[in-house]
Amino acid sequence: MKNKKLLVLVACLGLLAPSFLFSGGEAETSGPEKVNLVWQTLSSDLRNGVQDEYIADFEEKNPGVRIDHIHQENDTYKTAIQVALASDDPPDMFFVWGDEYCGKLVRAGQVADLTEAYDTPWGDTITDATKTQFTFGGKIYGVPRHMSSKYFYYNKEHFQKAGINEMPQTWQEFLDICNRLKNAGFTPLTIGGKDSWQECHWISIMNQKLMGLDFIMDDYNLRRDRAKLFSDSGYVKALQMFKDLDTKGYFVDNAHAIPRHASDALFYTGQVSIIYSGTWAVQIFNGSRENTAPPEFADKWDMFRMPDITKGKGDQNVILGAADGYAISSKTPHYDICMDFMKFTTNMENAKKWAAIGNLSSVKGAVSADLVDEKTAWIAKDVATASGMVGWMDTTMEASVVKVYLDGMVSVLAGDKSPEQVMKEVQAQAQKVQDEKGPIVYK
Amino acid sequence: MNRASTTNSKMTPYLFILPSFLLLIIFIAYPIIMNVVYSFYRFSAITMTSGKTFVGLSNFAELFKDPIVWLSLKNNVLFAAGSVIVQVGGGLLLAVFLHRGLKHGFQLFRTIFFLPVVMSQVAVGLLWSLIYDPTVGLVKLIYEALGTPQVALLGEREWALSAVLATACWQYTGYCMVMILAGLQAIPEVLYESSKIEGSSTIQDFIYITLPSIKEVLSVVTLITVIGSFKLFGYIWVMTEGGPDHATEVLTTYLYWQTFRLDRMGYGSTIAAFLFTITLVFSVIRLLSIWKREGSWK
Repeated sequence: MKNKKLLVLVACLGLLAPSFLFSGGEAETSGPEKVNLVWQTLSSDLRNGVQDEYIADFEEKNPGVRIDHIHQENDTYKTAIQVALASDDPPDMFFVWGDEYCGKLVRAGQVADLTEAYDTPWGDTITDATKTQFTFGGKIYGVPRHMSSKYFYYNKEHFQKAGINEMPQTWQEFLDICNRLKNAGFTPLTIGGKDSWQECHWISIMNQKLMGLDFIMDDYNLRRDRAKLFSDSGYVKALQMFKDLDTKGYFVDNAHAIPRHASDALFYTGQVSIIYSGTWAVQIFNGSRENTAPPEFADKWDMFRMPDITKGKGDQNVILGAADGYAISSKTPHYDICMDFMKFTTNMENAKKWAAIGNLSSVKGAVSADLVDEKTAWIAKDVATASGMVGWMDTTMEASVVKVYLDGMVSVLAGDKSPEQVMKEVQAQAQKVQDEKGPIVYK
Repeated sequence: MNRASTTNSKMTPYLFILPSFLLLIIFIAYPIIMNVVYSFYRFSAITMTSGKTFVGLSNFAELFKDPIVWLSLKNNVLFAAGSVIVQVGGGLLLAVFLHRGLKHGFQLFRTIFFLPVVMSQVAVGLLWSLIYDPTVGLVKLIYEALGTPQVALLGEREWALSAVLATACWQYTGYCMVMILAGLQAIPEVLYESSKIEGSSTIQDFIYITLPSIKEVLSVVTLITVIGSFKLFGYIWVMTEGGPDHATEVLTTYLYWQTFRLDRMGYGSTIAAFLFTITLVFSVIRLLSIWKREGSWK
């Protein structure tokens, strides 16, 4: 009888045991020289391959160091990293977007100040435009790995058939081109408007062109007087100019309801003449990624920058774009090794590996014509001539305000709300957040 | 058997349920209690270790004033109503048809109708997103065949929720059907035979024999469907993310946004507590109905 009871007890404990056994932390390491690091990144097959190569090389050169590479796809990453950072044991190094995304981690004291590391010769190898996206209150908190920008991609055959030889320099010329394409029987523009960040990119650069970077950043960071927040007529005008493209019939039908991938497909299957897309789309449109454009499409397109808005108050040579990269956790006990690894991933040899898979590396001189395709090389040159960069609005603005703004943009395109109505809602949300949290400032 | 061993033998069943009981406490009860506790605080996930601010009932005050919460609740209610009408109603019709109307292929049709149930919500959501896609979807072909201007179902405020509801109905009507079918098969055939002798019609059979006999099954299926509609997340997240402009927002997606995208852990917990209360009410109703039927809580 007693044995039976013992058996029952053992069985109960046995059932519970796994949850206790596996709830412990990391395994003990035998010597002080052994270091286990965690690097959490955003996944894509191409990039994971190169990142794993970095790890293997670094581990070989630094015996005793082991780096675990955790990676997730975009949406999952956004949630996973937030949960990971909330724990007492966050990853030692992790992926971050620039601007406000990194900024909120800086304000929360989650990321290490890397300014000192930038005072070494290595710091000069990183392009300034990308550094600024990780600079807050004069200090640098991230290691940019590459940048992205956005261009109009156009179908050369459509332009030729519509008799268009010159690329537009002004917004008016752009409208004329759309009109000529439409008259020639083409659908001029597409947008994957169901994914609201697509509308967001148009408005991000148009706001800058109409009002200027410093001016809009005072609104985005909620630093303007409460009553004047987002009250400039430029905001309504940007939305109106965007909506006019739809009203005039330049956008594809149901533009607000098309998913991004479908919009890309409309362009590379020749159903639409122009698409405003990121520099990452080069690989989609030249068919070098699986399940993208057919190979014969690779020669059928070219690109131009968003033209000037002639009477706009902003510097028209500022382009839309952003850098992303890595941050080091402020909680890691292995800051020095992490920094060594970060420098290792951005040395010239490794930066070139990053560029070779189609990224505009943030390391000066890493993107060379022998490494990348003709279009990426052109972009690298063009970006170098820009006088500055305005980030994607959804990474430069407080999250709850930009949510209202983004939903509003889709509603404007769908014809459900007027630009004035949307900006009133944005203003109300901005005021609410300013009341609660005050303006966004860095110490 | 002495007294000590009697006591011990009384303890044995409790020892057997102890592991499950502990697991329930750790993984269900504790999170629920902590969620309620968190709903009285304001804090961010990324600064969680540096502390939380106690805000009393202010999260609840915000919840009751938040128009999106009420819009989400309305969408949940509409979704539940639509699901009950189509899934339970449709399931009932299909079950009756299979049970009494079909002479051949009973198992084949039962399998066909039930098949979508085994697929994951995410896969079904993606599949139907493609069907609804205004550039390449099957729906586009239908509009073209009809020669009418296309409505982008997931992109229009008026249509988006119905489009998602249709997806859920496609997947779960079969589930309701199988549940109801089990109830129908338990009805003694003799009842129908005697009513036939009395000269009743098929409709009279349905109203006076079939429906009263499967009343319990119907109430269980209805409650499961309603609770499922309040826990709805997968389809919405995959197909619309609550858009366009909150037109398909439901409580779960809104709480996800507030918690993980806007990093408002306290307010997210408040919405979760609100949602929990609603589903708890339905669960209690369901339990009460079972107790009432069985005459005792044992």
